[in-house]
Amino acid sequence: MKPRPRGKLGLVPILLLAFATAAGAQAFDKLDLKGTTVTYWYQHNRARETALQAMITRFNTTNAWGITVKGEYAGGYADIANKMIAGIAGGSTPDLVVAYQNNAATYQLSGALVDLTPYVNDPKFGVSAAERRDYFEGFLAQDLYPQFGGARLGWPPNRSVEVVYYNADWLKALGAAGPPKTWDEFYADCKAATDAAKGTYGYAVSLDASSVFAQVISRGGDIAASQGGYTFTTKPMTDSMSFMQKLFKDGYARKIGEQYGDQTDFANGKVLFTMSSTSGMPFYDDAVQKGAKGAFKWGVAALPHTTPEPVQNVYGASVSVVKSTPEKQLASWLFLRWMSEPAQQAEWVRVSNYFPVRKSTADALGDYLAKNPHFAEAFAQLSSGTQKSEPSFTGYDLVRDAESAAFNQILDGAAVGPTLAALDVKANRLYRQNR
Amino acid sequence: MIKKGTRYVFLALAAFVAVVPFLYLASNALKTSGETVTRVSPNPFSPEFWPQVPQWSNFATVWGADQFGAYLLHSVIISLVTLAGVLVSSVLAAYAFAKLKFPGKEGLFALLLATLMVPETVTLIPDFLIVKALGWINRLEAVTVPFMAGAFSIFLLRQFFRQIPRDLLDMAKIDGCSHLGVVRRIVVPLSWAPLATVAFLDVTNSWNALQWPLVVLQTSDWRPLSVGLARLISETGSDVPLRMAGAVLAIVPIFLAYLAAQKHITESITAYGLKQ
Repeated sequence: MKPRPRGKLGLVPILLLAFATAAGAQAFDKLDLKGTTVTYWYQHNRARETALQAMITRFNTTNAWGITVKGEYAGGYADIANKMIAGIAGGSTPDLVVAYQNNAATYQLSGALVDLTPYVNDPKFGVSAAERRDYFEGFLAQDLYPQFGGARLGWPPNRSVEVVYYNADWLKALGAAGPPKTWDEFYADCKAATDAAKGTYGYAVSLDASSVFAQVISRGGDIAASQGGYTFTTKPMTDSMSFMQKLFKDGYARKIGEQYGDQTDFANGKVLFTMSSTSGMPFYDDAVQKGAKGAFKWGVAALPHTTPEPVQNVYGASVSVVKSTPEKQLASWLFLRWMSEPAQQAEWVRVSNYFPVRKSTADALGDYLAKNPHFAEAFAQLSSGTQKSEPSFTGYDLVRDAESAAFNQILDGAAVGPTLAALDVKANRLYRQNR
Repeated sequence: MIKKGTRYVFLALAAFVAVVPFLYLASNALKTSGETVTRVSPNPFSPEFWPQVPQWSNFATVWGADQFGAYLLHSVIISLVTLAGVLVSSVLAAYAFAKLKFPGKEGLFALLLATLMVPETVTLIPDFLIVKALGWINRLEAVTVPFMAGAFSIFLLRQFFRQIPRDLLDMAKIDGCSHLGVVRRIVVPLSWAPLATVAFLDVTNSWNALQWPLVVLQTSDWRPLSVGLARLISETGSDVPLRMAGAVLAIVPIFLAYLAAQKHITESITAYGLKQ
């Protein structure tokens, strides 16, 4: 098809956009933020909350605009989602709220969230082109919602990646040169590690949907269909499930009944591989130090893959700005921007062990990276692979549950094809119902 | 005799099975976090089940660092205020359903019982809207007033009040008692067993509530113990001993309340086959 000649009319949208941007910038500039107080609902507790509150206090005392942020622990992610849904109905919401992408999409069905695009692009209050290049693009892309015309409904304070945890000493003893790069190597390592007499095995199965997604993208697939909705009958999905079914049936993988039981088995030298979030590294480290086997060398690696380079599942909740007054919205954005500056990011990494969202944060983390080689190892992998994230569709949490259930059935011997076909139908029904 | 002995052995075994999770809770509350990784056994007869050296400091850590004292106080106040309301409203409503004649009584009672079948999640938003309209968000009223009337409590008390002989009430009326006087002087003094049961069940419900307090309390002013416990759960790993120590601290008051009301609860269960 030939490209249509644009003519002068093609300039109209560009001029309108430029005018809107300029108008937006002027509007922001006129706002008086002095004395503006915004409430921030978060899920962090204990050490993370203490550190976050200290950062909030510092923002409150040092920001040039006279903004005050009030941070409140509001429960876990699910509790916060319940509160938000009730709050949106009752007109009682915070100004900033932590939200996974599917939760943000749910809130936006009621038009409750602010599209941050004009704030990000604002010449005075936004993010400059140079700063923008400093962000991991894959992290920022997660908060763009095609379902809502490409609106940006959140800003990331941090991210995590799904990785394979491996017992390096054990792998070496098995004669492996390093962590497996292909799924065939993964199978061979699991087989070699399994010894019924000693009670050891290869892989502690994570039924979590994030782990399933990580496996699918490691084979070049996706679960979001290009035309919208889900696709669970692709070859990468079928191959992933068939592989796990075989690994489990052959006795080289086990399901874990107890929460964090995979960490316990890993620390006690019973399992060679687990699959989990990078944010669990301090807990693994702690468990290994205290494990029955005594401390051993372990590491994290990208999942085995059939793609030329690893494709990593990046996830993490962002912070969304809830619609309120222009002053509160701008104040909320300025706090988010401040939190994503390298100095604050470095501070947050040290307490949370999450990945920072800006590359230059590494400059302020030299000593931390030296002291935490596993974090450094995983952080370095961010630059070597590409990142992909799970769908940001409304109702994705329900699909995740269905996905875990289907995976469980497959491990228990259900036929892969029909089970995935049924999952595909169910997921797409949920997709339609939640739009 | 053998039959009775077998029954006791069976009951003792069942009681033991029921107690094991609580022993597990207590033993893990006293372990180091390392021991929860290296010394793990579901068998109470295994040394691995128990800590090598009990870590009593876990309780102090939870109590001190996690504001458990404040949460506990909030829970006690919320439970007692709610309980007072429940007892007053349930006794009066149950008396009316059991002893008074008024049009639509049976239909109204059926409607009341039907509310037992509506899950809390369904009423969350309407309840929230009402509480907000009343200006109770972040206030004690939000976590107490909505629970001051309970269909189950009314049902339970009504069943008991129906057993009280009408003649007894009539005599009181002849002596000049009003309905309120009858309730106060005759009905309540005869009903300690069901009242204790209602009190215990109600306190337990208040004590365990998590979703509603989180929704209506957006600041930490009145947050109860259940929220304090939830704060001990982290996203990607678990500090088991502290979670378990927190759970033990949360259970103790309810356990004491049960001991205090045990006799009456058993009596109620025996008399009315109470199950919840």
